[in-house]
Amino acid sequence: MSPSAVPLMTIFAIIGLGVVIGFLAGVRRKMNLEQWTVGARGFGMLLMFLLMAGEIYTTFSFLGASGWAYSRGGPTLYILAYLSLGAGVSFFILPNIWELGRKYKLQTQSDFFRLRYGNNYLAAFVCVVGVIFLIPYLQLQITGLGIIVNVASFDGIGRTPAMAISVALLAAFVLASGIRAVAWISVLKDVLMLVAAVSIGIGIPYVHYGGIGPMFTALAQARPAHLTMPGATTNLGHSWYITTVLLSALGGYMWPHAFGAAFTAKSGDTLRRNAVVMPLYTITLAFILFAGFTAVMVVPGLPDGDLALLTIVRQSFPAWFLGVIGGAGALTAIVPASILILTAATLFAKNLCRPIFAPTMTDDQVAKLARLSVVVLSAISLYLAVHSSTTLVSLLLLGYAGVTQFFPGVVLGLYWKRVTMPGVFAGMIAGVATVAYLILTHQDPFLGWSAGFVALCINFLITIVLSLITRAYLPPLDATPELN
Amino acid sequence: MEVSPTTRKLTDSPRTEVCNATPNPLSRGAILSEPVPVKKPSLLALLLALIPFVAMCFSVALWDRIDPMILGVPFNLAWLVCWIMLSSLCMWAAYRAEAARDKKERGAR
Repeated sequence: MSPSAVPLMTIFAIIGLGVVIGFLAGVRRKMNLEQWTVGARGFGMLLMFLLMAGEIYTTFSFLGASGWAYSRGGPTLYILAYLSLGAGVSFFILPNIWELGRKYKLQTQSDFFRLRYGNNYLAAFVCVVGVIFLIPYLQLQITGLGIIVNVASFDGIGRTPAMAISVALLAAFVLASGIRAVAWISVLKDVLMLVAAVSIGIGIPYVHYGGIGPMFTALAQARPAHLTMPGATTNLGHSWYITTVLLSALGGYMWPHAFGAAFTAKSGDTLRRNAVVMPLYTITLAFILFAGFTAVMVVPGLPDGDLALLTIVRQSFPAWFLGVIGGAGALTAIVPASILILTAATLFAKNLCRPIFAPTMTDDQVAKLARLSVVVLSAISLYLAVHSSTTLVSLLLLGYAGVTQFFPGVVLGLYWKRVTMPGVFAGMIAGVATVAYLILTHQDPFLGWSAGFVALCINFLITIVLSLITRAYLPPLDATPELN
Repeated sequence: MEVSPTTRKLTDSPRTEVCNATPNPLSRGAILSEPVPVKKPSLLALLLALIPFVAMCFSVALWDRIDPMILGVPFNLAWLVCWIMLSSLCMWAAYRAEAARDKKERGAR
């Protein structure tokens, strides 16, 4: 038996177990659009936590965070900060969104914009931007899956076939079972992820240095600059850290899928309690960083930082354990990727095609179109993943920079009654344009600030100024009776 | 919650409204552009949620160093791990503050 057989079989066994759990979860429920996308709004505290944890802690946290600890050093700490702070932001936004969702039967982020600003074009724009920036995130998961199978097979299976298999599996799985299946697979994923993180975070430094303390002492002596910011980079200093943490924390729940997950909750209170426990899950990431930092001196000179975690696992543990880690990693890619595909497909069918091209479609036809879009979107992301070589963190930061541009429209829409549709629309266009310009011309970070944050500031400014100006042309809002 | 005239108008059927509407970039969708009813968070909860932001984000220059190592972990990493737990605690306090306020409001009505 070749050395790659054991880890590969373990990985596929774990994925197979996940798929079985998923199919079982979806089996006895009638799948209409409401059940498929928002689980009939019946998720309690536990399922909610699993769904949120399932979609926020992705293969990015697994391979990307350790990859940055390896290749960049100190700046990777931003990941620990933003995940906890993002939960704090969700505390103030999601319960209100949920309340509106229940009252007006909202299923997607774009539905919220249409309700609040009453404009189909704004809603369609939100939908298009959401889907566009979901794609790098989806691509990230597929790239991650490719890396896992590739490393676990000792380079026996190339990345491209590995990615193709994973995508086919993903699409089949999403089509069959909808959001409830995804939440249930998260159970398996979370348990494995916890075991994997703690055992590699403690085990790897122990194998090579005799413990976490000696490992950090050795690293601090050999490469003292690596452990603080800007680490191995020249431009990721403290101002980058602050702006990136703010950008990601504010944007964390602006992802169409995270925003949409709010609608699956049973009550607004569920979401609040969820925000209280969510930060604790981030602690597992600290362990993954330990492994990444150990790799700096043990496996130096890797061409791609994202390979660091699995390469050092392969060197430190027996083959079957590489399989377990790989399986956990594969699930942390499959779970979020399913949610991403599901969200993007629903957005595309329900919020773009129906209102703009075919207003007479029934909910059932929309559901069919959504299923078709699952296949198309999977194929697009696979294509991009095969033809691109960006690091996982860069892909994620690109997505965050984009979706955070929804933040002014959401938060002002909820809490500032003078905000107007033209203000939000113009601000969002300016924000997205700034992101596209700065990132495509490689000016991120811009003057030491995260490009997405610069765009967010411009977005806020334009939204507020234009809202104050355009207000005069709208019916006087003061005539509206004070609510509550 | 009291049902205001706006809420009632909106509940009627936002979906049919939108499906049949002729797409027109200038249409303001009069009823839907009115403010949606939401509950504002209390000041106390906001202040509690701000604490982790100060500790983990704005004050980075103060704690981004290696020494003193805590339990063998560089100071900046140890600081963040510690604050992950404390931020959960802050959000718990904010949760209690909101819950207490909700209860009081219900009692007053």
